[in-house]
Amino acid sequence: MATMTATIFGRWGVGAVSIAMLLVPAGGFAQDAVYALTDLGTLGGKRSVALGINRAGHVVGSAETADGRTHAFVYLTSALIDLGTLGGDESHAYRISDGGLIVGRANTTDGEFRAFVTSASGEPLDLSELDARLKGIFSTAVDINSAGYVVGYRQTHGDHMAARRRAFIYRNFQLVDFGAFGGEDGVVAAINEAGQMVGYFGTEPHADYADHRGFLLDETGLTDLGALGGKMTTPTDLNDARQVVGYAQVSSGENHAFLYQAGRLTDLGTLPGGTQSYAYAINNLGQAVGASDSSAGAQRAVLFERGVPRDLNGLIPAGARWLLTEARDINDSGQIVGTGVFDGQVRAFLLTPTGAGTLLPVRTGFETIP
Amino acid sequence: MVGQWSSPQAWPVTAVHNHMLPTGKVLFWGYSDEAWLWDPATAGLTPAARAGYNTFCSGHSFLPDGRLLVTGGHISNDVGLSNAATYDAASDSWVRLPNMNAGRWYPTNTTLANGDVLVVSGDVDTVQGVNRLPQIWQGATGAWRDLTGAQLALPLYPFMHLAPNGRVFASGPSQVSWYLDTTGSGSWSAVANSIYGFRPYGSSVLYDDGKVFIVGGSDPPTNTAEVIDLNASTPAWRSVSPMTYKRRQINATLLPDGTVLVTGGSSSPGFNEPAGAVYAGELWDPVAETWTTVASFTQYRGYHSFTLLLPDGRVLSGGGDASMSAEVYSPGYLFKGARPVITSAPSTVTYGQPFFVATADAAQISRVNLLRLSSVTHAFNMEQRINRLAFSAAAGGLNVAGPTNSNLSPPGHYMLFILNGSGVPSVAKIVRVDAAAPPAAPSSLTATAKSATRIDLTWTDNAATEDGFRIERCTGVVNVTCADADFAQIAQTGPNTTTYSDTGLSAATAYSYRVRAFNGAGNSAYSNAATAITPVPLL
Repeated sequence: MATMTATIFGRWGVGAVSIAMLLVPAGGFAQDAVYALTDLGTLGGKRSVALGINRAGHVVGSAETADGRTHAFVYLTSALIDLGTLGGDESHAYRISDGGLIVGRANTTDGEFRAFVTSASGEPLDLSELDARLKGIFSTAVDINSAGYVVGYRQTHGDHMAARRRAFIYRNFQLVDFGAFGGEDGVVAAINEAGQMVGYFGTEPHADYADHRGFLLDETGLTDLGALGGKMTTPTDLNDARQVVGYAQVSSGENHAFLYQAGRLTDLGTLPGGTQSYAYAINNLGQAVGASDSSAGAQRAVLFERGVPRDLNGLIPAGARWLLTEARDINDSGQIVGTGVFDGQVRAFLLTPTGAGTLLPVRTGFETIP
Repeated sequence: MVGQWSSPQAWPVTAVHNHMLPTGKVLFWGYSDEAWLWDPATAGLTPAARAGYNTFCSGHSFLPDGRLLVTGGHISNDVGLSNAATYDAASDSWVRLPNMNAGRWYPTNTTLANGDVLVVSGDVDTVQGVNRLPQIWQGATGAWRDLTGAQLALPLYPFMHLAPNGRVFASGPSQVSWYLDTTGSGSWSAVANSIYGFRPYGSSVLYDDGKVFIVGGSDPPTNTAEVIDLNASTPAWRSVSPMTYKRRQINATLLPDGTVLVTGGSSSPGFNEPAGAVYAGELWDPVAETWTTVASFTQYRGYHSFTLLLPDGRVLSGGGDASMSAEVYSPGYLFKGARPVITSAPSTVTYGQPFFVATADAAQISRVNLLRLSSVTHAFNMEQRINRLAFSAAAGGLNVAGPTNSNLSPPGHYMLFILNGSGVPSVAKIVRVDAAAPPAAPSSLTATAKSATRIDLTWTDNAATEDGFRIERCTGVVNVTCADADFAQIAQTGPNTTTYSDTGLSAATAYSYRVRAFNGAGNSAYSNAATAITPVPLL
């Protein structure tokens, strides 16, 4: 999720990271390529996935290490930086603020996952060290804004039949428990600069895989985002204009990407011949990214333009030998991160607009949706 | 006859994940890796080895050698482990395998025709969502193969069946049915849309070669059922008669006579609503495509319940949240007179090879069916399938044609049932179906010169499956080892031979020999090499 201001936590001493555009495409630009493509590599293993990018073009995600573990990474200007764990063997970084603070989950020596905050130069901070309520069986941070507000959720009990998820926001050195938003089970997905949030809540007790409703939480309270014919609506991101994206089940049981704005939930459809699509992020210019299958079967990374998905594979340099399978985040410069296949491996990518082509208007026009 | 349920037996955990093991016992675990074994013969319960991590919400199917491959597991709701491990029933032990690409919470395993296992779906976490990357566990290399060309979001615990064309058919629970071609980097192709639509917590059964049955599920629950014939040139779903009861959170069990028993579930709207408990079972006849209501049990078995077929022809049913118990259903065919008896049958059956089943009831037998051992959770059995074998009566038993197509009968363990004309099944013999293997290598080869022109060989036959032995010779120099290229085959014997006389040799010459066994699957390794020198002839 893109953020607009540069306030950061001073506590971890990370300072303001450079917001200069330092990324250099790995290959030359094809004449009509709208994006230059950067292979972000791995941490020595076979695979990597990119999940978040900030205004400076710094990327976070997770990658396989040489010994087959999955570790969170940050990419600043060249190789991936291993963000380590909380003593265990696995970590995932989801989002990075414009100030360079990174949030995610990492496991401890006893294998339990904890929400963490870190930076490229710091050690991961276990948020449960700041509030013992996160010392339960599981906690994770999922997003952070420029004010340093961290949102996430925790599991309340180890006993399956008693377990619930409750959302939290961490700000000003205080953790506020948001509960389950009136449901039985609450998960938060994203926060914007104004502190508005999206997430979902389940309404059934003792249900692992139950129906859930998406919500927008703002100063007016909780707004149910509605549904597209199914019983699960899953928001993934919102921008500072309170445009919300995500995916919602349709009557066939598949998911379709949606946009929610001004009280209206809109199905963003699929690529031609497709059955499913997902929107994962939206920037402050109203540009959204995600994935869709097509008549060819497998998923492809897409940019949602004027309310419909567009295959990003047609916008990268010809002969790149990549298949972009999903786009996970987009910043206000239009840079996109996600995951593709290169040389037979699942690899993280960064797309940077070249300025070429006329296919990417700055305002891609969700406002034009009737 | 509607059959009969036993009284419920208290179990130590809610049995969420359940497996009919080649040893004849049932392995189960619930919300953790606390695993137990249940013995159908005694109803005894004994602790089993634990995986060492939380195997709740994992996927599972059997490898050709009978080990259970368990993939993924539970960190938190919607957050999966990337772990994989095998459970060996013979030694009651777990072995960790390399991790998968990412976490999988609610994945489905499918054992393929070559014994490798496809794993699809399962949530990584709430941010990354479902794991899009299908992976194949390759037994030969002990490594995962990524189907990078087939990344697609499938529902959790999708209904997957190995189809006659070697592809894997995804029959639900979403409306779109797919084929996954697992060759190369993998590819998906849409097959057909089912008629009813999304069927969460319904079930799917491969009830005949290439024929799939989907039933129940949805919210509010449905009683509808559909079939598809993948052998058709353009497969399409077709509605069949509905159940009497609407059901969600159901269990569907393929029985030895080819009928499908549906039990449990709820008729009420909601995720898992005990108020709508359906206690009566229903039996689907795949020939008439009709339903018969059968005996009822006495408690709600909904979310996290299971059923599986036992080798004795009964059905084990248990679990369901807040239900730490199990009970056994004796289908109506067990109340229709004497059961045929398998006196003996081979423990291993080879593709394309006939085998003999000893029974005094040969004249009454009308069907010989293989039913694959079950591995079941969350309303879907990832393993059950039926193969109907051709046979003929013979003296003292049945000559049975072995399965010929590993797409229809993937390698692994099956219950071999014989059924009489009334549809009464025997108690099954658990057999392993596998590709023919080359025979074991002979050993202890000796070469002894008997004259200036004759050398006699002896060796030890270590194989039970050889078609014969191939003898190779190298004419060389004393104390010089022959290279592979220097050996040439000089003779071939029949099976169970352990001697050979090589004649017409030259005097005062060194000859080296080696022997290997062979059968239709190929050659064994070589025996040791043995050398003898023909003497100088006496004047």
